[in-house]
Amino acid sequence: MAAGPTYEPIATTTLSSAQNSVSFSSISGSYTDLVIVINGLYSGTTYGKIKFNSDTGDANYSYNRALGYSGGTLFDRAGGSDGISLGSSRGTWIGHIQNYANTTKYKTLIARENTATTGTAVFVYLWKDTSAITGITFTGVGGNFDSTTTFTLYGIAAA
Amino acid sequence: MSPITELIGSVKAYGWGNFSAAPASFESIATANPGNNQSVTFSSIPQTFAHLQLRCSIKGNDAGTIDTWFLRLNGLAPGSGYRGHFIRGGAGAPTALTTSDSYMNLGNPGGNGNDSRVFGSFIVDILDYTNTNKYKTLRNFGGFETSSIGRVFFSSGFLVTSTSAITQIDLSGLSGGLMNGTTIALYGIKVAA
Repeated sequence: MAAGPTYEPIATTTLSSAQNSVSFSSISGSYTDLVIVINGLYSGTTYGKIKFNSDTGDANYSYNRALGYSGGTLFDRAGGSDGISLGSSRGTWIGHIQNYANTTKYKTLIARENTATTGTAVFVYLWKDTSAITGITFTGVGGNFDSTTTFTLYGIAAA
Repeated sequence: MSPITELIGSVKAYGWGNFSAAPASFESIATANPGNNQSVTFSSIPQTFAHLQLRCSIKGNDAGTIDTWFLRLNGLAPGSGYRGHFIRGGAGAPTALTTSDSYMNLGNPGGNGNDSRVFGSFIVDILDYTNTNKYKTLRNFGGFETSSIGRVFFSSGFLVTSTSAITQIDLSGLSGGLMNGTTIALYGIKVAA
């Protein structure tokens, strides 16, 4: 019944110096899901942003979030942004994109974010596009990703 | 590319001794692709793993924008037998509730009234599913987003009436079945011997 082992590393980047942008390109469509793991250090008030493929639109991404932090809890959502926002401090962000190669669905991404200074959060994001995801770009907004930040992409194949 | 989920085990009572890598441990068991208004059943689940994970891209049958979906174990539907807590956000006031139903509430995948291209996404973990001395605890997170409405959901729960090993999982929506385009993949995770 079982189809064999899966959950494979596709690519990993570890920054040896501060850098503003990291990309994974030519992502194979041979998996069912993608998992993105970022163990990041962001400078100052910088936050990170994710965009897919060569998307240049400024309103194709939206999210809703549940956040717990030192001030309590926050539940919010926002539509029409130009990318998927990451945290603004030291932390780990793990996102899951199911059916990323499907060309009839918008792409939904669910993620958990754990940051040392800003709290812990659960996200649901939408990329309002039916294109198969073949590229992912991470960009620092207002600064750079710090040295030692790691970006890892995994693929999971369903039976 | 080689599998990454290799295990490091055999940590002795004293010190760090005896770490060793075991074979890859995350395996696809089966995938369901229901048609419109159909439920999903995984039966005869192999008992050779330590944990199970469901990875789901789903839409509910509700004609509106929000549906609720649920899970049952081994075909059991005891009144108030599935207990849990969840926290839900995304629109309006936050919700944190206790659940006590004949099914395990898994949150809101979005209804059929949304854009046909919008599907919710969930990941459900079931630990120690073959153990016959424990109630079976689930962890679940996910939700849906349309760019105008959405829900994010984080929950835990368990079945209080049975400690039987899990051999069957049933999944469906409260407003009927699930919709075409839904995919639910079941994976097994092993631990080091």
